[in-house]
Amino acid sequence: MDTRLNELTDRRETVNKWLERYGVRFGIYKNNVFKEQLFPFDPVPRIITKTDWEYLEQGLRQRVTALNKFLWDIYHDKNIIRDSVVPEEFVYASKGYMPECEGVDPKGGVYAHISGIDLVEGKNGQWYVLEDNLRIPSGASYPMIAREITRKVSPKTFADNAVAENRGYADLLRQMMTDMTVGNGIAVILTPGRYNSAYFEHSYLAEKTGAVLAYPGELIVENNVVYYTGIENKLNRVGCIYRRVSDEYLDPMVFEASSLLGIPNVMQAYKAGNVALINALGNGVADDKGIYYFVPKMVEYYLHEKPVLQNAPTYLPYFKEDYDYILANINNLVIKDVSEAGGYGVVFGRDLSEDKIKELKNLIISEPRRWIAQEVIDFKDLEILEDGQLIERKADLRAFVVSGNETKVWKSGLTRFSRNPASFVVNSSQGGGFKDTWVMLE
Amino acid sequence: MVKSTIISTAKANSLYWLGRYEERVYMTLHLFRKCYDRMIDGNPDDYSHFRNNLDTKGKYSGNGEFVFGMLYDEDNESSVISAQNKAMDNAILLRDLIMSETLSYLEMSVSRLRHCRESQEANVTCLQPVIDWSLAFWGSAEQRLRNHTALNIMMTGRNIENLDIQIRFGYSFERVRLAFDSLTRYNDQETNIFDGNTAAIIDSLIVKDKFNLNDISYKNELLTRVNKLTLF
Amino acid sequence: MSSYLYNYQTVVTFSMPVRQHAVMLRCQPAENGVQTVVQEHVTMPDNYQFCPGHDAFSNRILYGGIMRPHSAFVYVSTGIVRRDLDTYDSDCGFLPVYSLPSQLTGINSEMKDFALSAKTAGGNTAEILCEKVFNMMRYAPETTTVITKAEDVFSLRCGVCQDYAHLMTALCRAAGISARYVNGFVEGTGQTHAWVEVFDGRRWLGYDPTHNRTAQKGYVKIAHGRDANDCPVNRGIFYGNAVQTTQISVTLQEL
Repeated sequence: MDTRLNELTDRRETVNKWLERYGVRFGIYKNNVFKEQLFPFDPVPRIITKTDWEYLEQGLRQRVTALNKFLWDIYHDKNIIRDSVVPEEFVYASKGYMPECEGVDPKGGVYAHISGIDLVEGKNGQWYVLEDNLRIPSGASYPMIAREITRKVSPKTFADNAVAENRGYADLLRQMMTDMTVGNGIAVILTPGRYNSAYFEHSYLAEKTGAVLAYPGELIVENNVVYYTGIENKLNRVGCIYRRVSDEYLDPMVFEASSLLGIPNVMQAYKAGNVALINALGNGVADDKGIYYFVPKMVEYYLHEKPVLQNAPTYLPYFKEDYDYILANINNLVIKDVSEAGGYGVVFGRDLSEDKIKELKNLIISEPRRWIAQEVIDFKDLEILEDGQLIERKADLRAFVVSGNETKVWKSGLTRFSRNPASFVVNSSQGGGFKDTWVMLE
Repeated sequence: MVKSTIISTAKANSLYWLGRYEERVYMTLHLFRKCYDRMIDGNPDDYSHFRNNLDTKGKYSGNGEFVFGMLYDEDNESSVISAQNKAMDNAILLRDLIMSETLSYLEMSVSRLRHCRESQEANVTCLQPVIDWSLAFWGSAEQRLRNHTALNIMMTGRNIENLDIQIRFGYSFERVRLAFDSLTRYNDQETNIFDGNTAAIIDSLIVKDKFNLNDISYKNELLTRVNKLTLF
Repeated sequence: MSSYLYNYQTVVTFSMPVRQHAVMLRCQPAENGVQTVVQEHVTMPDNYQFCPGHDAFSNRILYGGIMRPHSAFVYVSTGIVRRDLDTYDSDCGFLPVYSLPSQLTGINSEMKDFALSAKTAGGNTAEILCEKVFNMMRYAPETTTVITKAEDVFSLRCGVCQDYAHLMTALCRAAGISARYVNGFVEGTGQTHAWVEVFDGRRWLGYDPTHNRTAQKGYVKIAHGRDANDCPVNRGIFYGNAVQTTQISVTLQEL
């Protein structure tokens, strides 16, 4: 490890004390009981060189721009379907496709205001996109606050290393919300409540952006306008809702009827153009695991450019050629269930018994649309500090792209690692930890 | 970005109870220390007044049990740890109003109390940071809560709790009257949260010739009115 | 050409006052190539705040609510609608959506085989499926709920008009026919009714599997969607610990 990091790693305990002091936690449910735990922080940062970052930044901006154009197209003219670049059933059978969003015009044509693009770096130094998260990507608050703390605890580290500032994430969000706000209303962050796994983040981002942290029941719609309700029957018009409630719970009048987390009739206010929803509704159609395959094609289709970022090599059983390849090579592939999320519907062919392989093959044969297969990427492992020793673990990078009037890439990101040496899955819900992500200035 | 000027009903409620519970943490520790001091070498007569008022349900028998219970027993609503947890439960909902810096004093207190409970720390000096952080909390909150109404609601909670405890522990007329007068400063035109009628009755009860906390019915009436002063 | 007078009335009562009661209603006849609304009135108390609009499937909606505490919600939708039996609704919007399974109209392999056998039998597949559904089902209220799925209806073989319509819709889609769920009024007095519309390549045709007939004379359509979830007549949500009782009565009379 870089000796310039010694001071920081030596002061790991102090960093952890500060993380506790600020209540940096995330919630998990174990046997239906809510528990909060500290999100394990590893002091060894992921370092991204200036050259790598320039490449990533360009690629991320390009990818998110294409995805936003795709979303507009799907809910308006559908040219990409008509031109047979994306097959119709991949769009309409996607759980994320919402007929309710047809013809709705989000301001500036922006759907994915906050995109979390998950990448991994291969051993060969090549970066691959694993997943686009265009609904409610979470995790930006952790590197923000970790930076705040590590700078305090180990100023020398930051004096000696030219690391890009990352605490400006709140400014990016604030600017984007200001760009999107309608009717001079206030901006709110709508949280499902304190028992949501990302509640810390909701409340922290509200504090840092200056938006109001709103809870279910506090927002109402009257004559197509959304209001935040206060004591003594006071009302504030709401112009922008950064909602951390998923699409299906957002409006019980249109989606899940029993949802108490949403805002009744917010869909009508949104359709009327009276409020901005961050992110827009219906984005699930573009970050579907099946649609992922088509993202590089979208870049070419909408931007007439070569995609800068690569997908992990992916096969769709929907296509005959891929179908044959998958069935012949299933032992070497990762199979992902398109309808699942959160790292649960991902299996490695090599881990399965012969019976399980047979079972999986039958599932693929009976429902080809439900699955995708990917080559296993030889990740470049990252060092983490455990019991004073440096050991290597799998890690990914969630890069955040914020799109308001302009599309900007946050010069940092959430690096998650798996603590289990055998695991490739780095989700925090599955017991991983996180690191700061340093983008180097020189 | 346009800033909100209003406080939701739920947040108003949390602000009020945050004020009450955090003051309860401070006052319980304060009174506990007085009791603790007398328990070192005194007779039960010297400290029974404090002890009975702290442990209202007579939950604990020996002095040792009383000390641990009043500090760390989460099943005892009147313990320091219970009040601190409840203050935290309300504060956690208010990060955007009171700010992380303010919240961090409560985080530290909660974790300190848990730590001391685990190591069975009976020496009350180990909880001195909880008192220090409580005062730091108030200082930080007062400086950072830019919304005038929100600050007034929280301070109303704090002062109602203070008044309530003073009445329970039989403080003097001068002290109780002063506590009530401090409280009324937080009810102004912008924050009209008092029930006017109840405020007038309390005002008429805390007068020199009626004041008598040894009279149980007087004391109970006063406590009932104080706890019904606001809508929270 | 025939004209109908419709009267649709809903009385919702709560066992104790509720607040922040938001509502979305689909209680007005659809306007399309077939139906023309000649007269209409929606009557509700002054303190309800409502806006008219359209949902994703172009159905007419009324949405809004009452914020203050209240213990009843009453409205009446009445008017005269003309049905032209020589014309059809030929709106092609959303056809791909009506060709795929939805939440309540999923299919399993058994259903798929069932649907395909109707297709290979020759003749009008939709008509055959309508009859098959009618024959296999037993009309039995309270054996299913508003969220019973077509797969379950297929194995239970009983239910009410919504279940008949879901099953037929699912089977038509499995047979490669675009189909949608429809609700509306049927001549006489009673509740709202549900049936199916299938697209024959040019226009939408109504079938009522509950009665094994085409849904034309004596039918007034309100709304349609992928399944019943898309077009409930009345959807509401409120804050309060109350038990809700809903009474609906519908009258449709040819003039």
